[in-house]
Amino acid sequence: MRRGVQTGAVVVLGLVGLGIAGVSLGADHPAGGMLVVMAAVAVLVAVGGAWLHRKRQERLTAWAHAVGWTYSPRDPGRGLATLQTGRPFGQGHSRRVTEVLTGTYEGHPAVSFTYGWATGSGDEKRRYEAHVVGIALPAYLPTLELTPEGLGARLAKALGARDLQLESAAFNAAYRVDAPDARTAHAILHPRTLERLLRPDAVGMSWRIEGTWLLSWETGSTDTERIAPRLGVLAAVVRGVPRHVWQDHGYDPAADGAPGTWSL
Amino acid sequence: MTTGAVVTFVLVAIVLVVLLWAVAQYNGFVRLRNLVQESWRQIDVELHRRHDLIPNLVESVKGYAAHERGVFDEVTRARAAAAGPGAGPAEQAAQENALNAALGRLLAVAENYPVLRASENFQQLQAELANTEDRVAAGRRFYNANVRELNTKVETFPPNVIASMFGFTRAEYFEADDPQVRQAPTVGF
Repeated sequence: MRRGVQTGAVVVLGLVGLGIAGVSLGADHPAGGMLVVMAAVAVLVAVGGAWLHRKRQERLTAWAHAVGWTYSPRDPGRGLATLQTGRPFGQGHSRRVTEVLTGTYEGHPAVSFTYGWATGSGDEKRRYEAHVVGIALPAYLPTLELTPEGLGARLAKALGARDLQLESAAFNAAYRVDAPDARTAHAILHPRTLERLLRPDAVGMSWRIEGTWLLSWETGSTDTERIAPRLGVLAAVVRGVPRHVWQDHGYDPAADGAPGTWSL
Repeated sequence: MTTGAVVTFVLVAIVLVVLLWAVAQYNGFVRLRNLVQESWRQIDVELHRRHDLIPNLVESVKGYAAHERGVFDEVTRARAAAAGPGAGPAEQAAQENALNAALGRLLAVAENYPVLRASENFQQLQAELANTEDRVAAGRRFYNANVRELNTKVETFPPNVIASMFGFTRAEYFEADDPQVRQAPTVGF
């Protein structure tokens, strides 16, 4: 935050300097008037941008307070950028976690944040953002990733990528399933969970179980309207994991009691 | 390069491609067959886990309803048949169906004894049985998925050419005909 304020101050000072230069040249000078106008517009844009940014921070803070969560503009030291190794993490450089919202959802520890990264450099540099929403799992589970079936998935399969086929043709048409441990994937993706994942609020979502996190990601920055619907789907997936799958990975839900007895 | 040499080269290339494809198909069939066999053995492990729970369940009910000898004998016979070695998927499914039917009658007897239903030991056995049923169901789904993949490969063209040349055949599904098997046996306490 401090570095952003410093950068902003330098930019504004530079623009003011441009404006002064323009005024010094005089309105009659062809470049003078132009410089003044450019400086004025640039200052307005900079100030406006800073105001919009502040308003967004206030909205996110208000949203967090309204639902009993906490908000932090940056990752409060939880290593959120390295929660998982799969998409969108592990790509590009200049990775950044911002707009971090933490709390619980239906008793599960949950998190939402904007994850940004860049690819290329110089003129080729491109910046990307993803809105990541996640639920912490009570125990480690083998990696299982679901992404919507589309052209990218079909191309990947043509090049040899995995796609586990389940007993629902509608599900297979809607999703590509990648799981090194096919047995556990079959156990987690049982008919009730398949049916749940075919409901409108779930279709089109990408999510992945990796380590002790179940994360979902969407292109763009944090959208608070999308947090609860996506967490609803993720929580349903967690609720649907059979007891014997947890037991096989060192955790017994029956012995542990209600969800939420573990923490981030 | 003469025309003959070009034609020879092309023919050799085609033969090589076909051979490589055939080798890949053969290895794929072997992989799938081994996967089917391994997943069947996993079901066997879960079924044995279930069979091992049943004597304790019978004893706990016997303590309250010793006169229901017919039901206990039926469960014991069905369990012995299901636990016997060497049955294929279809035969095992039939034996498990029979065992489930007998277990259903045993649990129906238990419903008439509130003290039995309330006992911690009986409830724990019920929970373990339900958990084991879930394991069997998961194992069945995984096994059937592998069988589906193998059978599709055996029947579709052109892999079926390799299948018939090397004796790869369809595998049996492990199907539960009895609707009661589709859910863990529970008692409405």
